Amino acid sequence: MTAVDDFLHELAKALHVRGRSRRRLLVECREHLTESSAAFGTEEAIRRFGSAAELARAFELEVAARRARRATAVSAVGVVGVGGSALAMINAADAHASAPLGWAVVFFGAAQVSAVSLVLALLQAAAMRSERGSPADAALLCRRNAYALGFALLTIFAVGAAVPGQTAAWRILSGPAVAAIAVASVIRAHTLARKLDPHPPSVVRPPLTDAAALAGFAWREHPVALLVPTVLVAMAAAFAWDSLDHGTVAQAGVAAAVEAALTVTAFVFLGRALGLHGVLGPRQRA
Amino acid sequence: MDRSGANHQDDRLIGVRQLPLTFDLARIADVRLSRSRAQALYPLIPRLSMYSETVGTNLIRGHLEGLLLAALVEEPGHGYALSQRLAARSGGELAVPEGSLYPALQRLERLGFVTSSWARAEGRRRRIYRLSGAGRRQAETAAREWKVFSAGVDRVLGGLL
Repeated sequence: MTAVDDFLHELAKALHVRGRSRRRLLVECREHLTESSAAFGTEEAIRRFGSAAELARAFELEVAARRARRATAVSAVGVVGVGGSALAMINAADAHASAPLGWAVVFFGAAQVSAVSLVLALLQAAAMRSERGSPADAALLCRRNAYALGFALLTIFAVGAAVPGQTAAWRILSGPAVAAIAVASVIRAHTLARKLDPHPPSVVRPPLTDAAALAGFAWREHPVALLVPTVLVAMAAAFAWDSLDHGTVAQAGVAAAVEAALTVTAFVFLGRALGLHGVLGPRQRA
Repeated sequence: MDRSGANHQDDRLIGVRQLPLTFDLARIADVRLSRSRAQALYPLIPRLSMYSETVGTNLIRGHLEGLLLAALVEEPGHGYALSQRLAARSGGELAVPEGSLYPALQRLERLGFVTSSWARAEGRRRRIYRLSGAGRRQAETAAREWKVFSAGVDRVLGGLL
């Protein structure tokens, strides 16, 4: 076994990634080291090439960011697919069936959390395209995707539990099937991110900051500056929806109040996991 | 420059501790080389730099992608060829670990600035990288940004020399 083989063995051992991208890197490194050895000698070629561990880490950071972004695309398809299946079930429901209040709240709440998580993930994925990704960012992106998928599945479960009806099995199952593929993709990306940084710092990525970065200017928003307009918009939307649905002003007001309570509750309890607010970890403070 | 017009900065003595000991030139490892002589010997002597390797690597890291795009402007190339182009054009000053080119090239590929494909030459399988239209524009942008940045740094640090 030559010194180049030893180096490549060390590099292969340092890599967590499997598959085509790993094979490609190892072939390219072997060719590089072979040519460099012929010109400068093996020892010097390896010295010039740098540390196997550093190369493996830089390479895997790139792969982790790519996987997380790819998982976001698959998750978007999964959430839309689950939404389609849920709508198919609603349309197939008995005309006179009325949903119990509890399941109706779960349905509307879960659908909104899923949609918001997906929007956050899509914005982050788009902003991360031009960034040097960190494992913590990749892990956050995976978490947002996981919430989007999890709550989408909760939505369809709530529909199934709330309204009886019958429709073709493929209509019900196709959405969750795509979501299952997306979940696998998210787990794969998250596993790699956690291997690169087993204890990632808490990352806060407000959506308007990502949107501003995409538009080409810097903007750092405060969590409260995000919450207040979001609650107002959600209340206005709920009020308008209920009014258009022939509700009285009082009923629309109650709907707006419930919506506001749900938005604040979701922000408080899920905001940290979704990277909307959070206490800085010890590494960030340092 | 002195009265005779000789450029002393160019002839500044540079350390030889970075000389590869596996080289035949290791025999002269205790000799101090002038920059002009070192450059004449290049590419036999890699990474003879005015600054320490660590400083060099840190300085380059933020600009590696721009440098790679610049190295691809004239013609496509594989990773090893690109590392040699960077070393040759910089006169051996760019002490970047050659392995770090590959993650940077993959990132440039992801951003759509380069494309790549396998090619076989002299019995070897190589990944050839080519600049895309967006990559060419990005290389020009990087060059413009570097000009502004380096002029600013030079105004601050250059006064100390």
